[in-house]
Amino acid sequence: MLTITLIILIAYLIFMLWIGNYAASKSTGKTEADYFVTGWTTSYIGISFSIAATFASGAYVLGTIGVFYGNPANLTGYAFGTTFAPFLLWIIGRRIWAIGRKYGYSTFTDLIGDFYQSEKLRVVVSVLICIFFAPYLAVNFMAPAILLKQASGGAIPFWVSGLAFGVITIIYTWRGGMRAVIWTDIAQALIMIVGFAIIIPLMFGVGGGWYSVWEKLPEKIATYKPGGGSFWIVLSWFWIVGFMQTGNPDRAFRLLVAKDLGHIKKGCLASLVLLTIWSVVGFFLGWGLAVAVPGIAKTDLAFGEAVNKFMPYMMPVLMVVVWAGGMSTLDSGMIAISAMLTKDVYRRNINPRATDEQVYKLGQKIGLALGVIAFMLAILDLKSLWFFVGAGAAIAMQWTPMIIGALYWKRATTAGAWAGILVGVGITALFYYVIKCPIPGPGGAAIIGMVANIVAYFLVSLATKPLEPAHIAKYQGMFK
Amino acid sequence: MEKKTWKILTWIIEIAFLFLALTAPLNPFLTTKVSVFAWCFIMIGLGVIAIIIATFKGYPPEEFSIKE
Repeated sequence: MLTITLIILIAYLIFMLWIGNYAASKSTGKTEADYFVTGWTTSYIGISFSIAATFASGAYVLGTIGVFYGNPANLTGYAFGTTFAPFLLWIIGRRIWAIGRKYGYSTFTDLIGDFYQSEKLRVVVSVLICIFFAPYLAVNFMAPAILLKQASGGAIPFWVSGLAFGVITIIYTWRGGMRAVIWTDIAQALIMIVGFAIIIPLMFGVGGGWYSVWEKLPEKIATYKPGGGSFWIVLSWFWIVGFMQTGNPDRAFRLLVAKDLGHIKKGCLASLVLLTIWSVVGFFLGWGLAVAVPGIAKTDLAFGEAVNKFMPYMMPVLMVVVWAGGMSTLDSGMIAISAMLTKDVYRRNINPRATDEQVYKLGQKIGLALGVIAFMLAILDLKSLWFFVGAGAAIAMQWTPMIIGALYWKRATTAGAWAGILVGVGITALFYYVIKCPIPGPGGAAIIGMVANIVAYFLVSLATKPLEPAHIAKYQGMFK
Repeated sequence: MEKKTWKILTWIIEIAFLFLALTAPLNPFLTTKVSVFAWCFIMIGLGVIAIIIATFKGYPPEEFSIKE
């Protein structure tokens, strides 16, 4: 079975290279706009599938589904988050796309730096997000490598899988930029949906059928703790998932690449459908696994364990699903961080006279370097998959208040933005990395950080001199 | 209905969704797995209604000027 798994995996990798190469051939020139925002040519299919594929990382397929397996009731918060996220995508997207189109933006920090009239703020926000987001990229190497090691009985070491995974992803991202990322994301999301559609009924079959699985599903894990004991964990999951789609640069920048606002609108609605599919898949697999392989302490391994034990013939499908999930998130992260470092740091502050082609080539090189750094972090085999996913998202979402402020709030000020981001990132990092957060779950630190961020942003903005009305009108006043 | 009314309706439904969904663990009636997941899917439905109203009526694509 390992030979078949490897053959199918290699076929998948060749397919990804072909798609990436095809997408690159559609490029309209070596320009920054083409490399980072596809020259504003993306349809709602590309936007929605890319957001969904980026969200469903390798950590989702193994890590999150492992959590669904461990306690599906708590993960109702995850489902509420996937329902809320497209609403927020639309509230932000309907304005940021138009402003981005007008001023040629390819990152959210383009807006932050320009609206708040501060190069330092632009660079600090970019660098902060890049630093905390880099380990998130590494996570994407881990899930595929863990599964291949599991499937081969340890014969294929972690680093070999990670290297193969990284090289292919880096090649197509390097060649085709955002266009290749989006095209491969569409294919990867479809592969994942088809894969889950095949595996879920089989998993229910292992449990004795749909009705039997539901009957055997233990009430203990499928109900809330009495006396409101599950409130904070549900809120925590809601928060991280709900704000992640507009917070994480790897998917949020899809709001800038659309052809027009109609495609943003349809993209948000299609994202709603696809993100809900991920929640439903999580519940179904979580329930099925809880009945098929109960009691596995390291929940990341439950999915692989069940497939290995009951349906080893499905390992090739699971393998491709996990690799597709990992690649779709890694490529998006690489292109997003590359865009921020290239545009916000290099072009604006190091070499303002850089030509489009220079920026394009530097973007490629930074993407390559990020892939290498992420691979090196991954082989250190640090903490659990969800730790870095949660930490990266919790920090990245701290720019949300200042972005909404730039889009809608006339009283927003530069000092307020500084106060909000520094307080938000500081408190979130403190509770994630230094001291134990009083709120459980992956979003606990983000909740405290974001609330403190909003309070600081609001109060300091009100206490400081407003921006010039004519300046604000260039952004908020362009809407009729 | 006027656009302002749709905006208000959007936020009423969105806030109702957030409140009812996030307080589910405190809801004394959700004590069985059937009730927990039935409520979860009803809440998803409510959230979907809010987004549909927001995108089509309350906050449709805005008209904007691309020129300075």
